Amino acid sequence: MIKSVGPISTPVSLAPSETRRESSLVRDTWHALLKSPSGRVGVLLLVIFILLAVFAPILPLQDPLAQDIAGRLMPPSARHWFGTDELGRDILSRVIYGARISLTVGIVAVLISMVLGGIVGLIAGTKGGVFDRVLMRLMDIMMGFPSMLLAIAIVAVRGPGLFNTLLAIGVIRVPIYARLTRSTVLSVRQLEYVTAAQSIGVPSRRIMLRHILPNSISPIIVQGTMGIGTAIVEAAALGFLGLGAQPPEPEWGAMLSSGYIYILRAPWALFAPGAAIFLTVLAFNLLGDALRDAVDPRSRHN
Amino acid sequence: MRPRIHIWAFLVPILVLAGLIACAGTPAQVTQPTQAPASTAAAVEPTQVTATSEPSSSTGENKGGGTFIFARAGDAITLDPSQTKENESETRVVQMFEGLVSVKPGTTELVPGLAKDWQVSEDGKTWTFHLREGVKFHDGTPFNADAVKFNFDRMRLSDNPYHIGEFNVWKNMMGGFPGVMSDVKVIDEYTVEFTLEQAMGPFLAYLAGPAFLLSSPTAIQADPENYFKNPVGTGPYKFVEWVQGDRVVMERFDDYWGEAPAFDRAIIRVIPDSTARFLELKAGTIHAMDDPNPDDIELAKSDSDLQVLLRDYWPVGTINVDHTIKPLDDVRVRWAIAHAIDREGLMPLYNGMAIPGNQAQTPASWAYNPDLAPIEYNPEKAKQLLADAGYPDGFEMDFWYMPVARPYYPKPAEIAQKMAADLAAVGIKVNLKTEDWGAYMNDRAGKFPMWMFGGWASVMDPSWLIYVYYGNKTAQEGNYDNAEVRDLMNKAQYSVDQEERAKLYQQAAKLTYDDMARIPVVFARAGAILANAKVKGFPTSVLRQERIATARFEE
Repeated sequence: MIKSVGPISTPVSLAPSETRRESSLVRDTWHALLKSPSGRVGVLLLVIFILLAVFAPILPLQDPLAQDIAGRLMPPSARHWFGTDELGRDILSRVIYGARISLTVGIVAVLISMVLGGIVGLIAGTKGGVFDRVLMRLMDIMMGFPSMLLAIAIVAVRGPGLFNTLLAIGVIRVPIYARLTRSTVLSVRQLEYVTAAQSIGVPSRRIMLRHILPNSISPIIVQGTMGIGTAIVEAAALGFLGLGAQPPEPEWGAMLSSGYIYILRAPWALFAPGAAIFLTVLAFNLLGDALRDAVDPRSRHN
Repeated sequence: MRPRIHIWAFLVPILVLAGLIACAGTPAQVTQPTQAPASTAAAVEPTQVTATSEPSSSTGENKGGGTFIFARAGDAITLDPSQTKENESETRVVQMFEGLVSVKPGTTELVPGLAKDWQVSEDGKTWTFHLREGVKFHDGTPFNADAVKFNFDRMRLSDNPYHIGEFNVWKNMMGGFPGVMSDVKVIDEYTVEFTLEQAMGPFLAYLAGPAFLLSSPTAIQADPENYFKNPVGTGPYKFVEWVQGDRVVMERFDDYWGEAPAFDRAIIRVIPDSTARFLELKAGTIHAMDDPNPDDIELAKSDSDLQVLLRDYWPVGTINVDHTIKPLDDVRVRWAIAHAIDREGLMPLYNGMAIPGNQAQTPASWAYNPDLAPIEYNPEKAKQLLADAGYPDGFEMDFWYMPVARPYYPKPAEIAQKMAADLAAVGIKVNLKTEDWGAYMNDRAGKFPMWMFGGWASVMDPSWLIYVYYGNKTAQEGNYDNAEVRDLMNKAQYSVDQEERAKLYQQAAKLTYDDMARIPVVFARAGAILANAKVKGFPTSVLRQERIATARFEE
């Protein structure tokens, strides 16, 4: 695979060939993704949610925080498409603004666990030996905790709030990415081009970052896409328990929590945030699923 | 071909997760009206104890016999009055026991009980009680000064052979064993004298509390270990049976000294679920229930077979501030906050169970100061006050709200958000925060600059609430330091003249109002009872200790 000879020219000639290969991988993946029905549905739903979230401030929506205590718990109407909540706020507007919070939490939390887990897995997989054993036992210990309980513990110690929720959800997922990265790295490490690079004296850090990492990244991305859905559900669960976003932030889980005592009187206060959670998580899972098939060369060519 | 399978493979876990979220409910909110399906089965389950199965309807007259059934959410822990320390046990013992002093039903007024009258010495340290004659305990033991001495020695002396148990309320109110009461003397058969170490303003009110009701010495001596489940008092109803977790059955005591009760039997049942209690009330298998769902109160109002008995305003909800933190140390800023809160606007969140408040005592208390004006909702004035204090653009601050529902803040998060919006309107931007209730109770003094809090007196005496607020212990909470208020509180604490004490408390209320020491928000009702429409003469109690003795049916 790697034909270049000579210790000095190796890195220079490798870089462009890597880039080229990646861009074609991305293009192939994208096409494969759009070919599968679940991929199309996932992408469509996500595009809608992302557009709503990004353009929420310029959409003709009511202020998600504006209270109208006289018009509380009103059923859906032309003025309030999804009705109003216990303080008379417009639920449609709150759900759309809530998308900003949930998407941010989902994506950032997954990035945190991906980066931290990736680093741990990469070091453990590449260095092996005592590093591997210590790091992976640490990850095993973290996995031993029920993840939700750990998240609650982290938030309880650091205090409730959106940032701490994000951090907690990011941290509890680290072992998953660490394990995944390590296992991929271990298999990639056996391949000839790594041995070749080692034999020509490429420094180990360079091998780790330029040879092993790019070739191990796709399963991590697939896992990450699905992980966003889980992270959104976990953020909603923390919000429901009163530990996540603090009122008056329109966070979906918190909306469910404040609405559930009115389930008989005003079911719409539960319906909209519940449906929003369901649809975003569904979208990320469909996308992740399709993405996994798309990056897997065996299923792509079949 | 694979994706089709996979969509379901993902849908199912998502649904499971969604279910899990729904189940992960926290008890932080008010009584959940959502448990109906689970509890309906329990409600329909036949019980031996139903009103309709009793041969009750002989007549509709005052003494027509029959059974009265009252349902509460929890069971008693003990039926020994001296061991009671929570409301469920209290509601049972007040039916069967009496104290030297009583509370006039439906009011907060102290009236003679087993003592006809009493005198107190000039220094407030010696109390002489003249006992009612011809009173008998349910087991026939005569009630006299020896019985009184037996009861008080049992409570106060830790080396008394019958001092078995915690005597928690005695310890807290009387200051340990023996605490403030240094001697109990029998003067003659119907006269007893208490000697106190120091004068004690709330002494009489304490004696009227459930923990100081008097038991038959014979019964305690017979089986001290098991007395808590074989209680013997002097009250209008005597003990029959306690099926733990289900009911306490009592029957009319024929030798009762006072007016005989209307019913042959009184039963207090345990029905934990509020929806189930309501369904039984509607079905007629119980005659009254405590702690209904707010929505059920509305339903009961429109049901001609039911009536709503509202307890008076007693709990008080406030916004507390730390007086050492800038800018809350400035009285103008505290008044600005007071004027910024739209109290009327909060009322829809209370379902008619509160009114705007302006001090630490509700109008039901004799220490209430009627001269204090309601706190006006006036955002303009609030802005002006902030500008005068040097904050024309307002300021930003953490505002903590409680994670659990209390009578004074039944929906804390919603109420906090409404208040936050009110404060934002005058330029005070608050960041709402909360933490678990145990931590909240610990942290409130010291960690929080501004927080929601409240409380109610658990005895018929204002000191129970405001001495704690503004007496010696004040430094612990909010760092409000006003020597004049403290002085008034201490004078009132050691005075035994209620009128004088009322004046002292009212003066203190004026001072704390001017200082806006705590920002009063609401006077809340102590709860509500739903009853069958034919129930009459069942006055509510702000301490949630209703007595069945005077209740009767009228068609």
